[in-house]
Order: sequence, then C-alpha cells, then structure tokens
Amino acid sequence: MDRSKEFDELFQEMKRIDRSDESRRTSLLKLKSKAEKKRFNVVPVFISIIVVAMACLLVFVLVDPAPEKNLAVDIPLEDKNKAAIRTVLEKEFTGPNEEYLVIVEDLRRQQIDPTYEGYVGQEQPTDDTAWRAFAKETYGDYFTENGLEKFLMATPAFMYQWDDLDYQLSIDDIKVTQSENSNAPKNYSFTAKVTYKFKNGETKLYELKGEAICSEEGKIGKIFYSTGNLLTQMNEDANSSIDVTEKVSIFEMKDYVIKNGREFIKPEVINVFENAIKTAEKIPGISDAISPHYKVELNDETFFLWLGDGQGSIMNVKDTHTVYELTPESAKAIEVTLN
Amino acid sequence: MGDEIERLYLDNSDAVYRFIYLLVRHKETAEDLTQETFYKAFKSLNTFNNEASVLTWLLKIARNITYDHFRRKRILQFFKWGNENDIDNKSLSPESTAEKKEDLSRMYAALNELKQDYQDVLILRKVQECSIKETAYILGWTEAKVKTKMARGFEALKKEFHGEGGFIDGSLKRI
Repeated sequence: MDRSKEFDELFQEMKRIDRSDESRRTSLLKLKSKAEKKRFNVVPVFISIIVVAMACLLVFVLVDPAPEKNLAVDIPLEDKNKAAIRTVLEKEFTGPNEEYLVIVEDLRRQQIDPTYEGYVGQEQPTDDTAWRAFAKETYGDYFTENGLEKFLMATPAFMYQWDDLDYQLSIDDIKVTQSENSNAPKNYSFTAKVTYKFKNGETKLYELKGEAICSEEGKIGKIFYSTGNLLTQMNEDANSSIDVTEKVSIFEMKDYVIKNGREFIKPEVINVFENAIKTAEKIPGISDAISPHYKVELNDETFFLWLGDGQGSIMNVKDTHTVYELTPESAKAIEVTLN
Repeated sequence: MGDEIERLYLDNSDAVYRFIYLLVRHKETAEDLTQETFYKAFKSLNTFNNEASVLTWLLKIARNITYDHFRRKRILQFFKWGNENDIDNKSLSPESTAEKKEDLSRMYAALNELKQDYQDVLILRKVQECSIKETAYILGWTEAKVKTKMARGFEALKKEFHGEGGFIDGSLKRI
C-alpha cells in the first residue's frame, strides 16, 4: 500500500478535532469582553496621561522659569520620540537579559516545582507582579500606558530573551525616520541591524524593519517590527541545543499507552536516573512483564520503568528480555523526583 | 466592533483551534491560545494588508503565539496529551475501524516525536490543506524551504510511524 496515501486518510481523520459548542461560545464571550474592556480603558488612560503631562509641564515652568542650558528643553520633540524608539529597540534586542531570565525562572518554578514557596501548579494563574514591575521599569518611560500594555501582551515584549539558549544578541545602525506625511507627523519608521551570535560562534545578521507611532511626547503608543526569520532561527537553535544537551524525559504510561510527559534538564535529576541505571542489577530469567509505569528517555536510550513499594525495575527497550532491579536508594530517589 | 470580531471568530475559529490543538495537544491551552490569536488579530486588523487570506493571516498569528507559548514553557516542558483514546472515540467517524483508531493513535504519537518544524509543515499542508505559498507565508519561510522541510518531515514521519525512529506505542504490545 502506498504509505503516503495511508497517511492522507489519517490526516483527514485529524481534521475532526472535537471542540464543544460550549468552549467555542465561552471563548467568544471572553474575547468580546476583553476587547470591550480595552476600549473602555483607553479614555481614562488618555485623560490621565494628559493630566500628568500638563502637571509636569506646570511644575517644570514654575520651578525653572528661565533655564539657561536645560537639555530637556533643548531636545526637539522629534528627537525625544526618536530617542524613545531607539532605546526600546536597544533594550529589546540586547540579550540575554539575566535579570529578566531570573524573573521568568521564578514564574516557571511557580508552575512546576512543588517544593517552591510560591508553587501554584499548571492550572492556577502565576503571580506575575515581579514580571510586571520589571516590564514597567524597563519600558514604562518610553510608552503611553496603553501602548505599554499592547507592547507587553501583543507584540509581545521580551520576545528575544531566551532562557534555554546560549546566545548573544545586539543591535546597531538604528535609523529612525519621521514620516514625511504631514497628516501623520507622529509616525516613524525605522531600520536596524540585529546581530545574533549562537554558541558555535556563528554570527548572523538580521535586518530589522518597523514602524512606530509616538502618540505622546517621547512616548510610543504603538510599535511593530519584523526581523525576518530571527525568531525561527532562535527556535531551531534552541531545539537543537536541547537535543544535544542532556535531558531525561519521563512519560507516565497506563496499559502501554503514554499519558503525560515531563522533561528534566537539571543535572541533579539526570544524575538520579543515570545512577539508577548504572547501579541496577540484572534479574535472572525472563520476566513476565506487566505494563510499565513510565517510559524514560535518556541519552538516546529508551527504558521502561516500574516503580512501587520502594522498589523499582527497569528495562531497555532494545533488550526486552532482560529486566534490571534498581537499588532501593535509586527507587526512592526516582519516586521523590517524580512526585 | 463586537460584530466584526464575532464574524471573524465564527468564520475561522475552528480552523485556528484545530491548528493550535494539533501543536499543543491540550484542549484548554488550545482554547486559550485561540482566544489570544483572535484578540491579537483584532487589535492589529489595520495591519492586515490582504497579502494573504484572512485565515492564512490568522494561522500565522496563531503559530507565532503558539511558539511564544512553547518558548515560555520550554525550560521545563510539561505537556499533557489528554486522553488519546478519547480523541479517537470522539473524533473518528462511526464507520472507522478499530485498526484505523489504533493507526490514528500511533500517528499522534509519531507526529509528537518529530521536530517542531516538521510538525508545523505537515499539519499546515496535510491537515489544514494550506498551499505551499500559504505555508511559506505562515511559517516565514521560502517556498523552497517548505518543499524541503515537507519532504524531510514526511520521511521522518514514516520512520516514526513504522517504528524505525524509536519506540512508539504500537510496538510495545508485542512484548
């Protein structure tokens, strides 16, 4: 039988993804309410920006009515806008930002590390107060409030800060140009060169192009840009670096079918499994195997694992006639890791 | 505004959901990311310049949002597959044979083993039935790259499906 045709039938079957009417409806309602909420936020935000801007102007004039050499006064408005765009690009395309990655690590542990103080699990929202504070501190001065929200959630910001990739990102040759269209003086377009250095020493250059609207003095209301396939490249590199980096993948199994999977890249966890395999002792005779509790993938080898009552045994899938018994210490260490 | 977003959503949400679901294999996450896709699309409607169909444009946004989701989760990935048997029972037509259900189950397992690039291109071309041009647009690749990745992805899928690329569920039952 033609294999590709056989797959075509299966691909056809994959189109029948079950999605309940209720889920569909609930999503639409949430979406509409989110869209509406944003709309109502715009007016008060706009008013507060105007009020704050006017207050600042008033204070400025009262405190220093005749500045002799004040840079803030000397910088033309257009340059403040250009400076804001330039700073945002520099911050966004310089990486990795270690401080940011520490915050992301905290969010990750909230979700997956039950021993972590702030652990909430996968189903509950994480506490992103620190993330928001950092985002505001980094970008708050250069965006309108509404613009910052859009930048953080929709662009989204920090898209080029990766925690699992050994890389360097830098930007130069930033050119910001004000629109020549007299009807749109707040519009700017920009270009820059982004240098991406991967750990193998390879350097790639990406052309960044984008546009921004500075709806307030020195503050961006909207910005969008593209960097060709930089993100795809980073993703590919991260995937391949994960492939070469040691990891252990654990899949829960029931009746020979995989249920859930987890992946560990921490050396101490990998050590637990490596030691367990190294110290396991061969059980004589052919075992009458029941369905394994776990499938373990480690260093290009795949094992089945049985655990229970402080004991454990393991089998390499390449040799399904031989089962090895784990030491009680290993069995316990694995149980602790998995729980 | 409400009507506009509703129309966009009603016309395209199932296709977008299906695409995301096949990438993340988790119903709630797929639903959340679908919402996010439409929200982002709605906020950037003015940037849509008709260089692609609305659905293709939405799939591009969906793919970016899903990648972002993967990226945030990847440090320690936790992926729940849901119950594959449930998927089989609900999604297959009544006339489907037991053999086909098992094949589909193996297909999901095999696809899941593939590199993300291969999954993307296979799902877009074969399930979403996007043209090479549309796929190139969504993935930000050249058309030549789509063809190459498609061919390699297909080979990799064959290997995984028929058990040459390592363990998959079906082979275990022979123990």
